[in-house]
Amino acid sequence: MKHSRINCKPIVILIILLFLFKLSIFAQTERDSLNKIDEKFWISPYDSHQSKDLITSSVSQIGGAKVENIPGANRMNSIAGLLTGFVNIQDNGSPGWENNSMYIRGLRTLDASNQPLILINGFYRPNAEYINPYDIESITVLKDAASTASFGLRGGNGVILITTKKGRRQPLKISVNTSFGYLQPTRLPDVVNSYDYATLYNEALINDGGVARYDQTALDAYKNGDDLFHYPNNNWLKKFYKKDTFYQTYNLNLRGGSDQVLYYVSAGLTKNSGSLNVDDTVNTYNTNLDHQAIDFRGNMDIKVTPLMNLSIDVSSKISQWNLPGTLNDQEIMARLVRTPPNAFPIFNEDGSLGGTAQYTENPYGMINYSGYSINKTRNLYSTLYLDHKLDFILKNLTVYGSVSFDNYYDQTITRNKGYFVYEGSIDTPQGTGKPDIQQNSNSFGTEYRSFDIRTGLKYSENINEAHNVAANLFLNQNTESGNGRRMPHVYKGLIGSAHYAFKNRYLLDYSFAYQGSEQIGGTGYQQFMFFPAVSLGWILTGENFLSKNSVLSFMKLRGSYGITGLDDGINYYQKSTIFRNIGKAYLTGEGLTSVNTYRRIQVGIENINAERFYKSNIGLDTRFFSDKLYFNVDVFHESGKDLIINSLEIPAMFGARGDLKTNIGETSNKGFEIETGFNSSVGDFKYSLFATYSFSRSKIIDMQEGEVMYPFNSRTGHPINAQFGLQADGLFYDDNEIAASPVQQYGSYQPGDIKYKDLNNDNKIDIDDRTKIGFGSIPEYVYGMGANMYYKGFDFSLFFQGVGNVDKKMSGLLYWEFSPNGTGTAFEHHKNRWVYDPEQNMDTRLTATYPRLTTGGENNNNRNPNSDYWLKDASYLRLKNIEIGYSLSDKVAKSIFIENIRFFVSANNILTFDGIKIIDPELTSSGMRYPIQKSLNFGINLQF
Amino acid sequence: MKKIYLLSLTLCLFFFSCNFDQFPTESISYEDVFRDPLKVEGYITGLYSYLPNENSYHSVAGAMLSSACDESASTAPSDITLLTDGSLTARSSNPDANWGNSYQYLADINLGLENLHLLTNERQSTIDQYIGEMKFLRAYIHFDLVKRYGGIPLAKKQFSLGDLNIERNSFEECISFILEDCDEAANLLPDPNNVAFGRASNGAALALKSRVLLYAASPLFNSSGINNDNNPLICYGNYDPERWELAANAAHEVISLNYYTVFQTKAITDNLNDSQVAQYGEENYRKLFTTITGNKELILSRTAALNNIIEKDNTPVGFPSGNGKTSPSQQMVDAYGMLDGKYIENSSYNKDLPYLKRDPRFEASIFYNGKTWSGRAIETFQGGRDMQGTIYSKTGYYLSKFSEPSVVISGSQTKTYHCFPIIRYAEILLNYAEAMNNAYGPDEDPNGYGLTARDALKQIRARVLRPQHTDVIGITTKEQMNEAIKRERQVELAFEEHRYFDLKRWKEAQNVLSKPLMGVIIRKIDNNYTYDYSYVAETRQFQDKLYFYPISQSEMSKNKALVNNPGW
Repeated sequence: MKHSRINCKPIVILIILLFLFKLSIFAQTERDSLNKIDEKFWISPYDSHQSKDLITSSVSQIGGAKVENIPGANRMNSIAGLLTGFVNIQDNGSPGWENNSMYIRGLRTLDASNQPLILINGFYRPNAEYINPYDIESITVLKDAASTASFGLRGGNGVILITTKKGRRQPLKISVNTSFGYLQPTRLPDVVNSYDYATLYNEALINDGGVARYDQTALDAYKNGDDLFHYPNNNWLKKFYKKDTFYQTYNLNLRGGSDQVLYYVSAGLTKNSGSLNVDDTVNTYNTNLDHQAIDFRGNMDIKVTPLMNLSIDVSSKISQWNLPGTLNDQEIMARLVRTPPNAFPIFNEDGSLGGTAQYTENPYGMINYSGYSINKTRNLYSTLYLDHKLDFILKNLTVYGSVSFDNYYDQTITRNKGYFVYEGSIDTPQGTGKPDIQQNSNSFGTEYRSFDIRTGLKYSENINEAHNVAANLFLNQNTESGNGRRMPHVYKGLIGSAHYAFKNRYLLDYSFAYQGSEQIGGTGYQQFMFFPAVSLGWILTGENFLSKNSVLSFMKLRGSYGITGLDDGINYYQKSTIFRNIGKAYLTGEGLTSVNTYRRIQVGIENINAERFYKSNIGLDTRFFSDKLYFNVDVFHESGKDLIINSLEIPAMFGARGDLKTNIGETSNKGFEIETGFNSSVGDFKYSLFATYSFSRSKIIDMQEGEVMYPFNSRTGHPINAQFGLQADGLFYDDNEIAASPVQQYGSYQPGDIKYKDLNNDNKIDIDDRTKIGFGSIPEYVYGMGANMYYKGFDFSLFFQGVGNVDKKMSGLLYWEFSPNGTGTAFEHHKNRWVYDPEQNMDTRLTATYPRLTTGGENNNNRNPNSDYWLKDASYLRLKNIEIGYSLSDKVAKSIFIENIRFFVSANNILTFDGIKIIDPELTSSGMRYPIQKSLNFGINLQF
Repeated sequence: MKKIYLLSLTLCLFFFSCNFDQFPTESISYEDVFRDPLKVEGYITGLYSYLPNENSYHSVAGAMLSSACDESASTAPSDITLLTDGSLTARSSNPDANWGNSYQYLADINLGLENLHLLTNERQSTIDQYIGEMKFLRAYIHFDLVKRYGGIPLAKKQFSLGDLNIERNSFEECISFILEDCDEAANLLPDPNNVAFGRASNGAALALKSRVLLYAASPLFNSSGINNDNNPLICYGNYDPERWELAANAAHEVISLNYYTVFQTKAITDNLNDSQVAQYGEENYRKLFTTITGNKELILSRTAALNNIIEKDNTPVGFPSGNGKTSPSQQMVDAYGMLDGKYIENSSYNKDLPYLKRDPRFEASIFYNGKTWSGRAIETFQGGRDMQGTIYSKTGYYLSKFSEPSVVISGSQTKTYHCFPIIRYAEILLNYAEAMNNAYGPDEDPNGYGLTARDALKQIRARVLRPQHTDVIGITTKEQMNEAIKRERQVELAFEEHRYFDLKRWKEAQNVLSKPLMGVIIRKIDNNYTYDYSYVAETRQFQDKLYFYPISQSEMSKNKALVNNPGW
């Protein structure tokens, strides 16, 4: 990176401020020649454009082009490992939803949400993660206080800032991007066939002291498969869930501008084919599970006068899901997985729909005879921005203002009916279906409206070639309504920042937010809170002793400290004492009548405040060998105070109903991040390698735990979401071992059941034996590594991402046999259960990896307490992305009047290495979520 | 142009001069509540919902409190066994803890008392009534806590968030504050005939006072304590006979209101035959708990909407929709006397025909093998219809008290009133008898109250027995009369949440409650039944420390000034 040469002339200042940010991925830049990356560099939504080399806060950024060809609606699922300090867990793979949980630098709060803020162009927009990937200019993670203090009451968990493409002074460039491909689940549960199910179920019944249900005739029939009407053998997933689904996306964008107007317009369309095997001959309407979405965006920057700029930015997206009946995708998957293979035949001999009194949900009926529902979400985001130079007051002073209006809602329309199932023949209907009655409904789920107004001043100047100064100060009011609250939620504040650079070598930055909301306790100015941050930087390579050496081309040392806030933990109007009409609580008189009772349901905590996080960060950014190699490292420490939790100081005697949480908890969090990369070329062959590693670990300092019986019972001192429970000591071998072991207080147990350790040596197993048994379900570290290569029009990239120090509890529908409560099916891994049957020559007492079977499931209390028997290491390494592309040479392209055309083939989530193997290690729930998908894609990027 | 800037700047400032909204519109502030007469009426009325057992009398971990003592066992598994199997600790979740719930209502009451002055738009007599009701309820709730824990931190006014390390008041302080509230309430509350059913009258306040003084005079408190350790939290520290006199006087005050009577629908006279006496007696006793109009025995009753939940909860399991949740013990059954007023030990009782010619209250309280109900005989013999399935009676009996025979619980269901007696006149008579007997003797009346202990017992027994049988035969000394009164109390107030506390205050719990709970095995051979009385339905344990519940460990850790009860 070259040093800046400061010049007095204004034009040069502009150029200097618009430093080219050479992304570390060289091939990226090449591909970006199609959509040339904007030269401005936003790291803060409020600031004037700032060069990355002058930043003193801790941020990590990638260009949008890096992830734009990856399928999927939720962009956040593609960026972990590319950015530092960012952990992402995908909760489900449902097309169009692909919900996720995100953590910037891990966990820090106890009862509130740890999710960061996502902003688009500086504005908080719900569902920002579903932005059209081709609209993204850059995605930046803001990690420390210096970069997030100015977000005030909502900045505490870090910020993900997405900037979108804007117009450029260039002739109109049209880009067309299309990709299509196949999606497949990364893992599907391995259900057993009817014969295995019956054998295992018999065994479970006998274990529970009952008698076998399936006699030898039945078992033989299941094995032979001769009589599928009376002895069915259905793999419901195989029959009704389409493993392969097809998707397509199309995007068109136009970008250009002149001296007066810059514009960017884009439109996109996505379609996912249905993932269920629907019988098309039954209905004229669609009952499949599918998704489609359409979106558009347009922004314009207009130079109204030489002194005044006007910008307008509008975007909108409509997504629509189609589903059979009224079940959601998770419920449908659950039914396909858990229905036993022998529960009923799909159709009886006489053609009627199969079923029994116990199993009334026939997947065929569920998919084809239940009607359908349509779920739509719509959003519209708009911003109008105006700025005006005030050079007549002070050179380079600009006044600006913006008004934003956002609207989001989701709507569900159902047209559904019921169906009967028939046990054996049409003479024996079962179930509660109402086949001839159609039920319609139209309901609105979440509704959200937001109005944001800003007005402020910004200034930047270079004094005497040595002092670079920039400052920004603005008033902001943000009013949100909807989301279940009857009163609007208003944030008001004064936000500002100041930057100073001396000879581009010594850097000083200050930012703050003085912000309040109606939820903050106190009166008048006490309802506002102050969040300042300061950061310093020293560019060592600007010093004489380090400049101009061939090895070290850039080195910057930086540090920051500040306070950020989080108001998520404050309950609705927690500061007010509230009475509520609870209806007729007590009847009186011979007629037993009453009036409505008003009861105090909340005691106000008058001085409730947002939670505060004191964050410090030290970082070192270095580049070597003329910027061929870069190495950045950050080390941070956070101290969380005033966390809103139940206090030990308030006994039940106080007599309050409802929560009585106050600002009393304390945590700390620390870690480090490394990012490094190398790029070089050999003749026409260009390549680059990169890697990131991010680690964080939290610690509970005060959660008002109170006295614990034994020190190892205590959660305090451990990471925030560490798993707690009993330690398991294998399975009981036989009755002698049970007699010789401490008594377990969790219900009856027998050989083959889990044996727990008696940590306090009181000869019984109960809650006093609980301790930390594993990592939490949120990984402590995430890493990524990849390579990009480019040779004569071919490009190739590879990206691996992994996590570690994470444990997952396996239980319930996906792991336990016959779950829930004996009505479900069994899986292949149950074949490794504990069993001892000398007559049948079965003895797994020493080798079993699963306890003895039971039909009690969740009611079998001995296996219920949290223990490390059910904890499995959920670390994984995934090949997230592998892509090969070919761009036609300029000559060929221009001969067909195209500026550039690139074809590519890629695969996502194609390989996963992990220890769990039964389901995708990212799925955190023990229920059945729609599986995470891997994909094989083909696409074209075209530019005119 | 400059004007535009100035204009826009002032516009922006305008936004910031608006204050935040302080209060959510859909909620109500306490100013709104206490200035509005209708809301205040609702507030006060709602305080009564503290009283237990509205729709289901099984409120202690799904069982009745009777299953914590020798009256019964819970038919289905229930955590109430924590109180009977010796496994209760300060860290356990005590199903009868009542601590948090009581203090929530006490806070509500104190909030009401402190803000009632805001109500200006109401008659003074009504305001007085409200104050009286709140003080009565405050006394009642405090006493509920004292019965269980001994001395507790008194909630004389609202606690403030700043200082919650409050000590327990001594037992004596608690009793005197409760009595203070009772006296003030008695002055402010209207007469019983001017008070709506389900609300407290001055009679209720005086009745509560009688109960409190009786407990205070009982051996557990009126002594130097369980192990003679003089712990002021759980006893007076000394014996004072005058306490019995005060108890007698308080019960007398209720009697001398001349308002309450022992409820009867049909009078029982000497000339009735046995089956008439049995029928009338059973009806008198049953209707007491299902009649609202004209019921002058209920001093305070917990109201409930028409329902048949009680019948569903208690009907034997062989009947459709019957749940049979409570299994009365053989001990309970044996406590009931005979139709001629004698006890089973010294009468014509035949253990091979045990249910013949028993006290009508037995017929009205216990479902036994062979009793006709809802169209058939009850079958609690081995293999009988009411002993089938996964959950059935542990003892061979089910609970019949509080149920109305004409109510239909499945098919076309019908409902009836159910009035759970919080305080009733029979208890006052029993209180009077016990106090008079202990203060003066079975037949003494030195203060001229007009009623001796014996007379009081006779009034109660006259509800179900012939007048010639209402006297307790062969009882002459104070000790004998005490036993008779205890037995009568056991039978009359069965399953009304009295016995558990009675056994404790008589200091008999360690003997009675450590004995196993017995049942009966009935076998049917042709048309005859054999009865095996040696069957242990549930083993029981009782340690001295259980005389008082432990204050929960979590509460102890939040309020460092609390001292736990001995043994915990």
